[in-house]
Amino acid sequence: MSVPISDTSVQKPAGSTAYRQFFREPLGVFGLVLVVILVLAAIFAPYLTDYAPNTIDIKSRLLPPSSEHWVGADQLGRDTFTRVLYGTRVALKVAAWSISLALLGGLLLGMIAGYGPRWLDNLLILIFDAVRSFPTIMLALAIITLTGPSLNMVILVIVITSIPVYARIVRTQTMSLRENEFVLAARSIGTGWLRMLYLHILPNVIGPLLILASMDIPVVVTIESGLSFLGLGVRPPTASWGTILADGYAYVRNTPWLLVAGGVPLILTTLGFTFMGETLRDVFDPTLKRRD
Amino acid sequence: MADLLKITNLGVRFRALSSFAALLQNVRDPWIDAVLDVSLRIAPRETVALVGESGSGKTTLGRSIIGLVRPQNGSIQFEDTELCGLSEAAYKSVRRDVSMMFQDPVASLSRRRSVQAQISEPFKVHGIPIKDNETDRLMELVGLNSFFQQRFPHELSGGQARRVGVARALALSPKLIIADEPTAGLDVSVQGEILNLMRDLQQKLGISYLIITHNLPVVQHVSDRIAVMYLGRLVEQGDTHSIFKRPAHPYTKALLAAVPQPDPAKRRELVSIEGEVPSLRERPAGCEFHPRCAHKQERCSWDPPKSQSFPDGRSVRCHFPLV
Amino acid sequence: MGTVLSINDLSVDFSTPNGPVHALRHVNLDVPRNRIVGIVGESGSGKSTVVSAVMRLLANNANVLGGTIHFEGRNILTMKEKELRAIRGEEIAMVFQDPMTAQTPVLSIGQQMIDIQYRRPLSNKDKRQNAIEMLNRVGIPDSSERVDQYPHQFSGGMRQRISIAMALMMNPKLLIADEPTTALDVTLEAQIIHLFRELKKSFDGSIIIVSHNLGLIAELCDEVIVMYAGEVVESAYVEDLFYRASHPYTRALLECDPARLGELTEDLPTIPGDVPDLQKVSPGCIFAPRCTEEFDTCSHQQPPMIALNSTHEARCHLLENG
Repeated sequence: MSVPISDTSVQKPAGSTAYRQFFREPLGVFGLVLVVILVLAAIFAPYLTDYAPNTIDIKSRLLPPSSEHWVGADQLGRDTFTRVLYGTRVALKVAAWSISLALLGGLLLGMIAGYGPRWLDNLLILIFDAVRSFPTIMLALAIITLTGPSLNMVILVIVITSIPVYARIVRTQTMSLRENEFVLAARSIGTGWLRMLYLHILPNVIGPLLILASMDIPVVVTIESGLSFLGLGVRPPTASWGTILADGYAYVRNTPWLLVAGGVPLILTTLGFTFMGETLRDVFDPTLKRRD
Repeated sequence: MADLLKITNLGVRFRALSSFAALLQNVRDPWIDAVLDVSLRIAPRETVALVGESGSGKTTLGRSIIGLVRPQNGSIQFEDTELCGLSEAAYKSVRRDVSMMFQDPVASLSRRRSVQAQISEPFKVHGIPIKDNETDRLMELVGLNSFFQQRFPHELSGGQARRVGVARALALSPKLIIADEPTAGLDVSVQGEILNLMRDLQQKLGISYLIITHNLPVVQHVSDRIAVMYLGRLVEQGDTHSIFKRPAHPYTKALLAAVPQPDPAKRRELVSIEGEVPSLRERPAGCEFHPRCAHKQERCSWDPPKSQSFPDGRSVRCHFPLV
Repeated sequence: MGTVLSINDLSVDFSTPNGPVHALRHVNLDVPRNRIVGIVGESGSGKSTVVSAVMRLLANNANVLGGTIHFEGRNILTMKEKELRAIRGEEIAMVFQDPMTAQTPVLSIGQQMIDIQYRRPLSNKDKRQNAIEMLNRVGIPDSSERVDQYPHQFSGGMRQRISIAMALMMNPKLLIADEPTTALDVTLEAQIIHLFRELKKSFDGSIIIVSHNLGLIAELCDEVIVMYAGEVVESAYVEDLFYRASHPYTRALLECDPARLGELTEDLPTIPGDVPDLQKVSPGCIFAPRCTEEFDTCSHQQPPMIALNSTHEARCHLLENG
């Protein structure tokens, strides 16, 4: 007797509607646009301006905005607009490196903590909690005072303090996934731990993590700006929004434009990534399940 | 005929509390016995149904055969290999011959992988090269159209997902498939599809099944033998038809009598069994079923019965079996 | 009037991004006073949608296209929120499928049961006493102590009993039980069936039991309607339904029930095919694609309800012309 061919009904896949849903949210789209602008500004900086960021021109010292200096010039006559553009590079470079490394570290350690033996988990949690008990800025100040200011140090500090946060989230997700039926099914086939992590756990934990990471970008950028503002980040004469703000602060009586130039991109970055990230989160939120 | 699977005096315990919590709560024994002293055999080409209610331990027993849970005592012999105490690496080769179908057909499939990837997974895990239309062959065996191979689990209906589960379980031509609640969530009008499929495959490929279920009416029609569990112990096992006709253990009798019959003339006035299943942490003394037993006698409250065997192959754990 | 609830020509759609799903189409149902009515159906039959409509608890994307639901003469569909709230819990009460999520976890059972009595001008002491008595009636032992316990301290079976106690406490005119035993083990199911039977003796309202379990329906119901894919296909007194089922779907369903099968040597019977897509409802009989007895009219014309006797009707062309 032949086995009947099963029905051919299909449920609607979730992926395509998520994409469409994102573009229906005005704030999300607005955020995405801002992010795109920032990225383009960083990439095409040399083409968007005739000046170089560090060219000193004392004649133009502290000039207000004009047709030659769209946002004015700083105390050494350097074009502020150009410096802002190149500052975008610094900001995004810090964001890209630190978030990527933190993600990598967080993923690896989190999955190991969540899936591995209890004692390893306890050990890792202990380390995470120890690191997290230092406020990021304090740790940054301490390390950088010892090693001297540099962009790479900033990145390192951010990575060290972010890994425990990401790892904890990955760990929790992993632990709950570990009891899921598809993991049990994979174990029943004989799947080893490495394959399990790579094939089954990783794809399921990475989604929320990426969304979190995108919301972390403005935080990281702000930390860099803050450290640079204090003189503990990039070394002069490199342009960074933080150093522009520092200059703006020092010369606020001469011109408000430096402060504006340093602050506005920070605000836009925060808004852009936050809106985008929140919309992403809403779109992928599993509690949007429909009732049957 | 040599047994395919022979389980002897199996015991599986779980830790309910950490030692410290047990100390604080003044609990002497922080362990609970999910499976206690279970002996069971499955022959080749045979279907055995493992029946019980919540807390009976049937799912734990199924999982311990395939190594998802490790027993503390007893033995599980699969063909000539002793499974208890086997290392994880050694268990891997056992998992070519024993596979499992899980209760929730969609949840037991990896969300982000296509049907084809999931059916080929057993081959990849064991390093066995897949022939060109191996997955097509499997799809055909389970009655699924080949184009479903490109679909993802959330794009399948419950029935289709179940068939994919069967296909995956069949991939390496196992000798024994453990099916955990194969009819859960299925409408009565389609339950038969999956069970007929399983029977068909048994006839074609000679597979044995251990069907774990609480769906009693269906058990009668699909299994050769049935084993009834209560609080982790096997209280009765034997030929399905004889047990359904004349159950020997009072619990089996109560269980069978409790099933509501789709016939208004067969309404029951009395409840077949009072009370609820006791917690695994507070096992009654003597025969663990005695507080709820309609036939209990004085001895039952302090003397735990051993399993008695009968000439027809039946075994019952009761001092005063009804048959 | 001898009818507590009268649903007439009820049609409900759900709006989805892919178009409307025609979940209920021209459903008629009468619940007489003091009777237990069963609604039988499998997945996609619409049985849960019907009771959600009665409680006006339909999802946001539901649209009632037409029809009325008269409860004690008043149309539920046109009532204002205030009237509805007066009725819910008081005159119509509901017991749900999952006992583990039916009670609030952070309040004791007693507090929840006192809370239900908020409309009564009684003292707290009296309300508490009512709660204890109700717990007794549903078979909770040591009720005067256990009334202060929290839901997680009760087992699943007990929690379902508590749900029933809470539903019956205000002596509603209509109790709706949606798959009340599906989440319970079979021995607990038997106890709950027995409980319903005992309570029916002292409870003078009507009960609607929604289930896919024919055994449960046979045990408790006086009258039954069978639903398939959003339509009522047969409606009868319980004996007529089980012994003289007339609609091919009902008959097939009874044949498939493993508890009804005798000795079986061949395969288990099934109904081949699948529930139709409710976004594209064909003009003909909704069951025709899966019916073994269908003929040419069946796929073009929707069959009318044919009366087989004063209390038994089925929607099938085969029954036309006597």
